[in-house]
Amino acid sequence: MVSLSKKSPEERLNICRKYYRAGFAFLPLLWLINAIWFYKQAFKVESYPQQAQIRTYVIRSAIGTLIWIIIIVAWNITFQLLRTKMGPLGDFLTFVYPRGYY
Amino acid sequence: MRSSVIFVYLLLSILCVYCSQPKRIVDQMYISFDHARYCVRRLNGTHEIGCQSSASGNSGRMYMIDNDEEFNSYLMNTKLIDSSGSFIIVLNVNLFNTYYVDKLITSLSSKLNGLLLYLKSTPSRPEYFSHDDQCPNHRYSYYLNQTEIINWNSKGTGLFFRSFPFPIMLIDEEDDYKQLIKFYRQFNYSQSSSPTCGLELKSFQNAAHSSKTCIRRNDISHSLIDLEETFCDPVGGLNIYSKLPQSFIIIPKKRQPKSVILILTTTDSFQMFLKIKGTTGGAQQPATSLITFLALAHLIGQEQNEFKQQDKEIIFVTLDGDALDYSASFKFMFDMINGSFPIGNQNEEPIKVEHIHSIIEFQSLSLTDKLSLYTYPSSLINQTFIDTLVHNNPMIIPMAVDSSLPPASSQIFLRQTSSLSFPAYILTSTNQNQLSNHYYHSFFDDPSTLSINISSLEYNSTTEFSQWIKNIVESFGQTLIESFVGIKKNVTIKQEIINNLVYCILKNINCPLIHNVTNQSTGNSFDSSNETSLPFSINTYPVAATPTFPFVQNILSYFLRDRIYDTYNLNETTCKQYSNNDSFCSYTYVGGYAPSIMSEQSFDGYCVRSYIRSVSSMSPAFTIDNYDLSQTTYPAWTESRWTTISLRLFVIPTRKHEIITLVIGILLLSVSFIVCFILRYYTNISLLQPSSS
Repeated sequence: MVSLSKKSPEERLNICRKYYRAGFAFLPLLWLINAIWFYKQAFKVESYPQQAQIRTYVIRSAIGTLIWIIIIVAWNITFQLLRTKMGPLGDFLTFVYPRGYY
Repeated sequence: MRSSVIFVYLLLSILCVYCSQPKRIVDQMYISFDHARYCVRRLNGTHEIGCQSSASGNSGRMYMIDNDEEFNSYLMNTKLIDSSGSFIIVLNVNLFNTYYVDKLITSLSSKLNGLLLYLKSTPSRPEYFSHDDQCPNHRYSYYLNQTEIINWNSKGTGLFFRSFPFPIMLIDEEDDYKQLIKFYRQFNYSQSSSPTCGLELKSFQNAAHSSKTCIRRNDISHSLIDLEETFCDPVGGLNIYSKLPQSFIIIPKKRQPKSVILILTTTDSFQMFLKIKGTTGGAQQPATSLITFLALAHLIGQEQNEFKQQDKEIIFVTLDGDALDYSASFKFMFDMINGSFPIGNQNEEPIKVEHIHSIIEFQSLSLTDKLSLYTYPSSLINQTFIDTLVHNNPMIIPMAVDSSLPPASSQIFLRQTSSLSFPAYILTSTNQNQLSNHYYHSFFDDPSTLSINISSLEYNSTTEFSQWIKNIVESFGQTLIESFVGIKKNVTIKQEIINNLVYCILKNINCPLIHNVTNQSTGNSFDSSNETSLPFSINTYPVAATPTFPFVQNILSYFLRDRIYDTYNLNETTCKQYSNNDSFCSYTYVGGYAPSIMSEQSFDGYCVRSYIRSVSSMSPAFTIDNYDLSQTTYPAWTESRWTTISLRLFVIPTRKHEIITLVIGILLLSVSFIVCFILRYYTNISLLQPSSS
C-alpha cells in the first residue's frame, strides 16, 4: 500500500498529476480515486508549496468525475427505456439477450 | 489406533447399508408429475402465441374448479381470492374455452399465475376439443378479400393463437388425476388458515416478441462469446415426392403442357398441448388422408403397366408444414415457379405451372358415410372425371359448382396461379360446410374417433376403417385409369396391405412392413420408436429425429417401384452397380414386402428401383435474401426453444408455521454465534497465531 505520508511532496504531486492525466483516456475511475485520495492532502493538511497544484488537480478530477457520472446515467436510462423501441439497433447494442422476453 | 480405524470403517459401512435409500429433502417436499402436457410458444412474423412462464417456474396456491357452479362461486369468493398473492387454477378440461378463460383473466388479472387442466378419465373427454381458429388458416386462405367467411371448424376456440403470460399445462393420465385430487382433498379447506396445496409450473420459453426479432437475435453473435445461442427454429420439415420411374423427360426433350397430375396430402398437424413421448393426435387429419394416399400409390404402382401406355405423369406429393398457414404449399409453389421442381438431376426438364394438368388432394378425411368432392374453378374442371368418380363410388358427393373450398393446401396452389392454370379436386369429409372432425388439430384426435380399438389392433386386423379405405382407394384408382388410360378395369388392392398400413401408422411404426421395404441400417433406425404411432406435429428446421419422413419416403418409393425388378434375382453388389449407372433413380436392396409382390417366385432380397425426392419445406420467407419477416407475402412461423418443463405439487404452510420456522431459524443463528463466542473466550486455541512452545 502506498502511504502518502512517507512520500516527499514532489513525489505526491507527481502521483496526483499522473492520475489526472491518465484519467483523460476515458478512465473516470482514476479521476474519482484521485479526488478521494488526495482530498486530505489538498485541503486538510498544512500547506506546503505543491499543495496549490494538487488542489487544482483534485478539483478538476472531481468535476471530470461528475461529468462522467451524468453521461453514464443518462445513457443507462436511455438504453433501458428505448432498447425495445429502437428495433434492430437496440439488438445490435445489446450484449446479452434476455431469454424469453423482448 | 488401528482398531479404532477399523471400528469407524465398520460403523460407516453399516450406516451405508441401512441408509441406502437416501432421500433428498427436496424429494420429500415436492410431488412431481412427469407425464403432463404443456403449451409452448410459437412466433410468426409479427406476433407471439402460446404460453410463457418465468425462468424459475410459476407457483401459486392451487384451486380446483370442476364445473360451472364452482366457477361462479370461486369468482364471487373475494375473501379467498384476497387470501393469496397468486393462484394456479386447476380447471376441468371441459371448461377450457374462451368464455371461462377470459373471465378468469379479467377477474384475477395478475393473480392468475398458471392454469392446469385435467381430464378425469378417457371416456369423459369433451365432445369437441379444438383450439384452432373457427376458420382454420384464414390468414392465408384463397378467400382473403371476401367478406363472407365460412366457419369450417365452428367449435374451434382459437385459444391456440392467443398469447398467455402464464403457463398452461394439461394432465391427461388417470393416475396423475387421482394423485392430484387425493392431495387436494387432504389439504385444502376453504379457510385460509390451514395448510394448502400449491403448484409450480415451469415451462420457460427462450424466444420472444416475433420471428423477425428472434431470427435476428439468432444471427447476431458477439465474437467475444463463442457460443451462439439459438432462441427459435423455423417451422418446416420435408416435402416428399415420388412417381413411377418410367420414362424421364431429359433435356433437350420438351415436356408437354398439361401432362403432370399432382396428388397431394399433408404429414403434419399441431396440438396445443405437447408431451414428450406422448400421442400427438392426428388420426383423422392427416393420418386417414395419408393412409389413403399411400394405398392409392400402391394401386398405381400395381397397375403401372396400364399407366405406361399413356403420357401423363402422376406425381405423389406430401407436404409438411401446412397446418400453420400453408408454409409447405408456399414453398412447393415457390420452387415450381422458380424452376427447381423436381430437384436432383439438372438434366431433368423442370415442371412448371403450365405443365400441370390438375391437382387432387386428400384432406381432413374422417370415417363418414359420405365424402364431399370440392372442385375449383368451374372453367377448368373435367366434368367427365367427376362423373366417373361418382359413378365408381356413390359415397362421394360433388359439391356445387364454385362453392367455397375447405381449408386445404390446394387453396395456395390456386392462389399462386390465380386459378387460371389447372383445376383442383379436393376429397374431404365435411357436412354442410362443417368439418366432421370434432378434434381438429388436437391431441384427442386419436384412433378411437375412427372406431378402432387400438389396444386390440393387430398387424393384419381388418377393421371397418380399413375396409372403408379400400373402398375409396379402389374406386379412385379405377377412375384414374378410366380417365387417363381410357380403359374400364376393375382394380383391387389387397386388404392386407391397408391393414398393415393402418397398424404401422396408428399403432406401431416399428412394424414388419417398414422392415421389409428398407435396408438393414434404415430399418434399424425405427427400433427406437417401438410401440409409438407415427407422430404428427410441428416439425422444425433443422429436421429433428422424427421417424415420419424416413417412413413416408421408404414406403412411398417402394410402392411406386419399378416392378420389373421383382422378377430379377439380384444381390446387393449388382444393385449397387445399377445405381452407379442411373442418376435419376435410387436403388436399394431390401427384404421385400410379400403382399405387394405379384410374381410367383420369391427371392431372399430384391433390388428396388424407385424415384424419390425430398425438399425442405421451410417457408420461402426464411430462404429469400433480405426478406423482411414482418411482411405477409409468405408465412414465417418459428417455434421457440425450451429446456426443462416441470410440474410439481407442494404444500404451502400456514402463516403461523412460516413465522415459527423463521423465528427458530433466527434463534439457531444467534445461539450458534453465542456458542462460538463462548468457545473462543474460554479456550486457548487460536488458529491465526503460530503455536508457541
